[in-house]
Amino acid sequence: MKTGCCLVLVFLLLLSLFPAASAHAETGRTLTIINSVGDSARFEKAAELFHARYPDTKILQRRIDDARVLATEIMAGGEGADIVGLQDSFMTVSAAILLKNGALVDLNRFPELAALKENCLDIFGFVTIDGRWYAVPEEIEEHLFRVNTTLAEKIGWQIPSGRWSMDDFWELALRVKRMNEETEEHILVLQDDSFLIPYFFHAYQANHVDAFAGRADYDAQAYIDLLTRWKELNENGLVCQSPDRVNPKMRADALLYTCRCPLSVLGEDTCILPPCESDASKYPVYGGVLSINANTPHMEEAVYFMRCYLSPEALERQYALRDGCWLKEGQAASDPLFIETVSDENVTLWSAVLENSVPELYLLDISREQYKTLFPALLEGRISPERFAAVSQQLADMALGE
Amino acid sequence: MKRKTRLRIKLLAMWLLPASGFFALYVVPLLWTFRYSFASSAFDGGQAGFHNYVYIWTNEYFLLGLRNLLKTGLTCCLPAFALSLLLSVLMIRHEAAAAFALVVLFLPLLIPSVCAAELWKKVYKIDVLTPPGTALMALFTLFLWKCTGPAAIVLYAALRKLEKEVLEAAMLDGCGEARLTFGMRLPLIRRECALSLVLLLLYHLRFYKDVYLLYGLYPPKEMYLVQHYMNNQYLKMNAQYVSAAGASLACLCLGLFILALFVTGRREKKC
Repeated sequence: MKTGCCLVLVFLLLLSLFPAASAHAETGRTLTIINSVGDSARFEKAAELFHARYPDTKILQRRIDDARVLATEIMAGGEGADIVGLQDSFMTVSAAILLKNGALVDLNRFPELAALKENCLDIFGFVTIDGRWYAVPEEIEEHLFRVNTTLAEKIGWQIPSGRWSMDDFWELALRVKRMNEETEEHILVLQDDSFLIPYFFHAYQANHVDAFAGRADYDAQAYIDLLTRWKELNENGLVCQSPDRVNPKMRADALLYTCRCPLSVLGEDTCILPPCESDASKYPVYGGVLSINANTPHMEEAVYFMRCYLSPEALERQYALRDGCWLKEGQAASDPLFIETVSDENVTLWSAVLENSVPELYLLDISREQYKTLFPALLEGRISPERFAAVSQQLADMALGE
Repeated sequence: MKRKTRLRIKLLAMWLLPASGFFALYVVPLLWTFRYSFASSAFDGGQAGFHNYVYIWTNEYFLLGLRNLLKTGLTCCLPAFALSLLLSVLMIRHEAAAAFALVVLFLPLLIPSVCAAELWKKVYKIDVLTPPGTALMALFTLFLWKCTGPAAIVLYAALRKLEKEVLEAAMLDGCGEARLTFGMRLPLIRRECALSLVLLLLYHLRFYKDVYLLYGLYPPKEMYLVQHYMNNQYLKMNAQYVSAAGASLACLCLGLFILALFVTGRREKKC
């Protein structure tokens, strides 16, 4: 009886393997793309162009949310992960570290792919680290500052038309503070609904933490000064966050508003560039991007797919209303909704940020710790800016020094 | 003769199945780990010689993790062993309460680590700003709460097996409770004591999960274990460093095991 049961079980087990084996045999070559966030029209066009050259290669899209499973698939190579979608704020490890460790391919190695960049505006700053171009952008989010023009007029503030500095911003904050003291009306200088940490700290991280080189400057005086000033702004009630983090809205009493958002959200609102620490500072830009796994056995197909994805034919179908126009010519005219919804000024600002961008950095757990523990403790006065900076530096040293 | 040979073949067959399982699931992966520890990375297929070993053995955080593993091992396992010994003796002395105590001691093993970690986080207010002393205390109490029970149950079972006549005879000869415990009970259950110590050491090696749930990927420096190093290197896709660290730890454990065998072997000979 027992032997019979065992035999039946073994037979069933063997039988269960057959469909998988036959399915594998049917599919032939497969190009696997993990965690792509690309919109369907552009992706479909790229797939169409791809299949014109590789008709027998199937494109398979998969989603892997577990960081350890993703790491295993990428390191194992094989059939599992040819092209990988990366979004820093949802990943445990920054793309800069993966690039440093050789997991991502430098796309500059492929001249035909690199040549396609010529068709586009110079939007590749946020997917290039140390001269290595590691990804093709899929979607983009920026931090432009929206302005309440009524309040700006009321306080007599000349809205800047180009780059402006952090010193200008602190002066503006001082002016608003004085006005609040003199009048009964209370104005906020900035409503900041950036992801996890306030915008200025995203900008500092993006410009001063080099995960690729393994260097972080959290303990610099400039960072401590920034923390001190942010604390002062909070103490004077000049900054706030939206209570509804899911559907944030600009408050009527806020002069400036920022959040990481697609172009469509800005619409025809009056927007300005974010203030910069110095002339050399760049703007942090966040994006969903596609990279080639250095372990892929289908390198030729993967590179060709990237060529299709970055081709003008595919980019013309890019959702310009959300991501802006990346092609130098022709893209905006193809989308009437885009022309009606977004002002030309905002499109120009959007492109200006992209052309002067760095990747928005999420260094392992550090941004989360800052959001969860350090910022509340700083603003409640439980820790000093120096302690905040020291703890951040210690975490960064650990993350980058391992 | 034939029967003997058949029995031998049967025994060999019975041995072969688990042995092949052990070989496939433990020995082969270990050999692969050793192989990968000499690779330059998971991506270029090159060889790095001993560079990975040099890298990890000169890396500040690998050494910190190793030191902390040994430190927390000593500070957690020895008190847990002493406590489990005390509890087992108390259970022997108060047999009526033993059944209830066994349930209470076994309960922590059934509670998911996530729930326990959340409770500890609330009680000790654990975050990145927690002072090192409090962080260590949280870790220490969690280990005691979770791991003392099984060790105490092993010791209690061993103490129950002791012949009552022998202990009563010793008491009639004027042996006090302390002398009875340290002079008779403990020497008689020394193998079980060793077993519970090994059990505690194993629990300590698995305790990383709880430390991770309490402090995340980057705990305070005092809590950073070698498992943090290996886990973080894996997430960074540095398989070569994970393999080198794993191979180094395997060698260390093997060395300690051989040393323990040597020491106990000499002691047995003396006896």
